[in-house]
Amino acid sequence: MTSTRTTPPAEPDVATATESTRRRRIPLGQDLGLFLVLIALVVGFSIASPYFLTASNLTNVLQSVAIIGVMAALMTLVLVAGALDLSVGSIAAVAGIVSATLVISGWHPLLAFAVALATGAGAGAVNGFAVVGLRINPIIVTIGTLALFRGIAFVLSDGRDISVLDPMSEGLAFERWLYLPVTVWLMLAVFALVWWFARFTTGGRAVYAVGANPRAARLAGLPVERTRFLVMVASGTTAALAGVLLNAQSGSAVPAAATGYELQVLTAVLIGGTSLVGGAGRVSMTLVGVLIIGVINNGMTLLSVPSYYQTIAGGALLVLAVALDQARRGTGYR
Amino acid sequence: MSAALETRGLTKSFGGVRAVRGVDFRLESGQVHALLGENGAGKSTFVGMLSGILSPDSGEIVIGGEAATLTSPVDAQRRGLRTVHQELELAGPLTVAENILLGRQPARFAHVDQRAVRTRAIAVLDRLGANIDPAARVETLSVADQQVVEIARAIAAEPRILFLDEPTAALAPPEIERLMAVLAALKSQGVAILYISHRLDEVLRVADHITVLRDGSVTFSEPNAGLSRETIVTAMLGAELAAGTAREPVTLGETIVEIEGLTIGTQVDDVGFTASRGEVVGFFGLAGGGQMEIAQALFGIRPAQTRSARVLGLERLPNHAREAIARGMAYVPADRKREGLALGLSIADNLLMTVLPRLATWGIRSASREAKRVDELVERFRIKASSSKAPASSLSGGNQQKIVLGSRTATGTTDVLILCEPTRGVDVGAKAEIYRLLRGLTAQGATCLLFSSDGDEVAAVCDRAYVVRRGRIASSHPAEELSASFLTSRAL
Repeated sequence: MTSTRTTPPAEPDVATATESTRRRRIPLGQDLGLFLVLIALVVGFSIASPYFLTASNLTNVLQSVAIIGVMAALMTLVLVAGALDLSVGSIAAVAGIVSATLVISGWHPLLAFAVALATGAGAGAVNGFAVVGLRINPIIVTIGTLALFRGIAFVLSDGRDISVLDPMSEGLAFERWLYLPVTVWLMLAVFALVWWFARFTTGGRAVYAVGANPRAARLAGLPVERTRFLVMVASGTTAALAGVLLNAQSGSAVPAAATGYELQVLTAVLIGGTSLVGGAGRVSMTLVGVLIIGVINNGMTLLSVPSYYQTIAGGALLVLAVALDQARRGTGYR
Repeated sequence: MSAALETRGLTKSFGGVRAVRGVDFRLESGQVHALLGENGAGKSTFVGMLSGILSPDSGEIVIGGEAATLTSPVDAQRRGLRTVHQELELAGPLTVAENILLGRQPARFAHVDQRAVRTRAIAVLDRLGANIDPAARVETLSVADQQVVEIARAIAAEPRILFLDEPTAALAPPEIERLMAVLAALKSQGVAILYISHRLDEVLRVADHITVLRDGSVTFSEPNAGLSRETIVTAMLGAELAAGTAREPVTLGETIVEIEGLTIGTQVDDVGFTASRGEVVGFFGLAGGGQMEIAQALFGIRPAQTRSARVLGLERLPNHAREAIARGMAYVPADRKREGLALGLSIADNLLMTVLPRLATWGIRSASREAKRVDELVERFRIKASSSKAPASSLSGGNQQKIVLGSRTATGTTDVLILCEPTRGVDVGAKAEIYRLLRGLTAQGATCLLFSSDGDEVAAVCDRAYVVRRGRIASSHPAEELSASFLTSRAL
């Protein structure tokens, strides 16, 4: 009786056996492939440019991906839940403006940051309400709020940049703990938190179940709507955190800040192997995806590739990442 | 004279289960040939092969005297064969006329002649005697009208062979009459018609020849001359079917489900029933008879009205699945791939889906408690898998169904278990185990409500059963009376 679990199936399982061999994924091989890509890029750029493989430049790479990294960690969960959030760049801009406005009007920076994060959560709640309450496709919702929140950023700032001079922001941008900038630690902390949540909490598993099969999840008694809503709220909150970090790094809050970041974030998540149809994806691999993007951008800059071409490369990478994902799954747009 | 369509030794297996076994079949031009069989007898597989959706493992299909290897539905259509499917396959946003002539629009240099589309659509609709506006968008029509459009589309192609799969399921009597007239007209034009239906009266009226499939083989094939209902029912179900196997006497506990005047839209009308602890109560009906809607209403996932309802101390039906589960109900859906499992997730993830929060502390999972519960469930439900980390998609149907059952009852506090078609697509061994598990649950004082269109299943496990016919409870029977043939004859 105790060995029932490992007993070879006595019943004929011909069709299902062949099906499982065909559809079986090899996570290790796939992970390895992703790491190899990263290593190949590092080696390639090291050969191509003497400045690439230096401590200060590698720190640069990390610092430059911190902002999309913070967003990408949560975007992984959003995609796993079967949704999408294209409004993260705009939310970052609104949060940046809110934070800077409060700081220059005399608020304590920490309090200003907190209000900025709450603003992000509120923006995420707007997305979540439209998706869950109004039952609109998340792609459509966040294309709408992509424009809506961007507009709010311009209205709040009256279209002007706001300089950020507070010591908190400077600390965020320039201070280092254990060789790494605070921003980088923050990004790693967000990744660690999301990784822990996805793996070790019931809420995390609910996200996977809801994305994998919402109907089954609902019948199993999982709070499908609440899960979707909260994931959108969390995405808005980390987008706001990214906005605060962006303020600190650039020294000013700009209403047009973080334009187009949603595409980079999405690219990083998809490179990491998260499925566009929900239910599958790992935060750790998103981090590798983020690093790949960071290395490519940094390497191209070192090689003086004009930024227009970098934009072209970014777009190509997004399509390539999705093509790889679907080839692996044997699915596609039909 | 050669037949319009003929098969010789047609065979098809799915994963070791032979769904269709060496079927010889002959369909003549100008003939209405009815194909009958219980759910799961192999009708759909057989028709799937004839219409190019499935490819046979062995045997041959001969169309118009020529051996044909059908590679796709389009290939079958090219050979003059059309199928009207049970599920409507129409383009909702397009107009009736566009749907009828879809893919065959009269056009000159890619410019579609809309007026010709309209005239030709009207001509086809007139042949059907249907009063449907050709300019209306299909999605605005009633299901019955959509069914007529679907049939019109098939007829517009002037097929030599026409398959009709349950064409009258959605139609009202006058529309059925019109369809019968159209069939007679098509017949006189030499069209060969394969007619699949559950409605015996209708089949006996319209068919020239009747063939019955049972367990994938032809058990009966004769011209329809003075055939009786009984002859056909016996051919469908087998005469020797035992009228319920011996079962241990059940000890009934308190009545925990009492429903009166349950009405669900137009599908279910004024239905009442009760169920007590310790019994398995069956709800038998043909596919589409309304029994699945009753199951869903009971679990709170389909809006319904009741005159009075009492379920586990609740004085009404639950409002949603979460409330039902919190009250001690569990639901095993009919479609395990779409509603039961997250196929991409692991066996363990699926098994723990319902119970996970109860094994955690403040939302933080406990690996040891989870592993222990998974091992318990795997053993209790005898799930055969290489590892509980394997994806649910890698298992056979029977083992998948055991996971659904295990997942929904994993809390150990299930008082009312609602099961829909619990052994559909499940092999015999796993069927027996699933029945054994139901018995185990009722022995612990749970109530099982089994909603099924499989008469053998209801006869094998239920202590008593209601027959649901067209949205109403037609009759109620004790265990001694239950047999598949009896139930089917009551539900037809």
